[in-house]
Amino acid sequence: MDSATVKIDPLGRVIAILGTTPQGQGHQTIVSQIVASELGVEPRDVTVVDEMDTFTRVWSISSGTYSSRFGSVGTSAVALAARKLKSKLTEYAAHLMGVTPAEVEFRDGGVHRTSGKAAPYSIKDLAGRAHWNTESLPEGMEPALSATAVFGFTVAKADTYGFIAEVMAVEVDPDTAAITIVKYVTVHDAGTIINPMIVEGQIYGGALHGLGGALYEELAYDDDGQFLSGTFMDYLVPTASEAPDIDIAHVVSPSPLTTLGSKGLGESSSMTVPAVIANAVSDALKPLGIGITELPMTPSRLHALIKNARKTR
Amino acid sequence: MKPAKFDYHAPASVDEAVELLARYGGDAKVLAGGQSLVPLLNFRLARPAALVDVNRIAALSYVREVDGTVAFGAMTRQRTIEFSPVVASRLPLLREATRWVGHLPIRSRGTIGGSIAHADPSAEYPAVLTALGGEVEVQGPRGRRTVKAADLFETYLTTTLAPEELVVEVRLPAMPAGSGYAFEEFARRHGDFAIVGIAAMLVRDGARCTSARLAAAGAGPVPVRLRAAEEILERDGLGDAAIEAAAARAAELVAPDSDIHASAEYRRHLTSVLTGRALRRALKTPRP
Repeated sequence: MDSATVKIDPLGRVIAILGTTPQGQGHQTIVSQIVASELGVEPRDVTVVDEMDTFTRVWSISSGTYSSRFGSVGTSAVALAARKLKSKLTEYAAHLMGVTPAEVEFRDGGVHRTSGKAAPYSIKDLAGRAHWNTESLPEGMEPALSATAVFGFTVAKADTYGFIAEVMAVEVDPDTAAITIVKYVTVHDAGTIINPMIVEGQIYGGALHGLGGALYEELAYDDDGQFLSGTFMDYLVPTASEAPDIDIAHVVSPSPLTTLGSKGLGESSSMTVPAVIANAVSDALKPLGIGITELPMTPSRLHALIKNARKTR
Repeated sequence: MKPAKFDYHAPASVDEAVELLARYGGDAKVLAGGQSLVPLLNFRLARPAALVDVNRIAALSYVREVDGTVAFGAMTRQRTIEFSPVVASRLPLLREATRWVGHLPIRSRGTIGGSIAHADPSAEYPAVLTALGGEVEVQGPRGRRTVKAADLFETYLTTTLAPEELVVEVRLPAMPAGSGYAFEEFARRHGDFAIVGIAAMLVRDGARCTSARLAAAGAGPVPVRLRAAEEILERDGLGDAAIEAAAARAAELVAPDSDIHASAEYRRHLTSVLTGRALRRALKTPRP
């Protein structure tokens, strides 16, 4: 479940209020893009409030940004709220024009008559009237240009899974046990891609995270239980220098269960990279009969495996 | 984390710096580029009563060639060394080693004197100093003295210098024209301290090797000159068999410890592998 509110202030500025807090996933970019696209305005016209407090938000157990849930659940709530607001604006404008909602359409940031030459109402115009002249609202319509949506999967097992397939080629130096990534291809099906640039960043980040787990990061203890990797001098994380070139491709099969068809891919390659690189290294060391069963594959550990394998051959 | 409280001094001269070091009687640390000391302070692994910041002593920053020796002011930055024409032509081994030192921002601050005085056995400069048989000039309350590379390093992060002595100059003999060289290193990530690094220089006379210089970083508590391996090359030349024998011998000359990044056995093995690689590459890279 996730909630979102989209509202318009008296000057026509659009504000989107989220039910989750990002840690750098790009919520402001994505949400301003979705809302702008739904309402026919520019992303810069949308202010995104990407903070969260269960005291003030509608859905009080919205629990955060994880499990790639913003890309599917959060964005669905945002799109639904924007559509609700759009429908309210349409109804209001039709009332001002003296026609039924069926005779108007919402496009280009305003409400237009489908036939005839009546002047359209822009969002800015409607916002001013709705705020300062509430008696202009149709009977029964609540004042305030604001809409809130709560989105949740209501069908059991209605999760939206993304899919990933990856291929990696590595070289292992049998003398130093160094692993070099020669080629790495990753193909994702995350449903509708909302923002290709953010998707690329998510894939790079996920892949590097996976590479960290596969090659570098370890919570190491000695025999007495003393923690050995308590600083970033000893707990190594991959840096830009360790990032391989990544060939990225997409297969788009939109989810029928989310508002925009998106499935989310934030964690994506962080799950697959440890497996694909361990398989590639196992394949490279197949002549020695070595199969990788333990991560991280530190050079010291890999060297010990190679040495033992050579001894027994 | 933040460092424990300390006094801060920024003397303008070497005399003043030495006087301050003497005043604190071993409880002051010299701040050069700060690339190792500052993290140690922040982790509170070092808690000196005072820092003596020598960055304002302009007289400690220079590269000079005098009678076949290249002298570096202790505060010469690694980045300056990386791009020094004198280093490129007289000490290309040092230039190659410099490229293995951390990352660009680290080299922009780090100094040759600081790196050597810090005496991290995995660091590149102590290994080059050891391989080439360089020396440092130090100044203490009783004046100046010269300490040879072989007498400088005591154990991990510890030199034989007295606490009130300051490294003022590092001197390396210019590599003979035509000598081959290579610095080979293995680290887990780009810019990390070496798991093992090998500095190599070869002077040839036809098929003969008139002088070989080899030192290992990361393979024990101090940088290790691999003299017995050098002797194999000086005796048997630079053929494949001699290089393999020297590489095998190198592994017997080091006494590495195990740590979280590498076992002692792996470090010993790398010493041999990298010695072989450094020697083979040194055959192909003559100094201009």
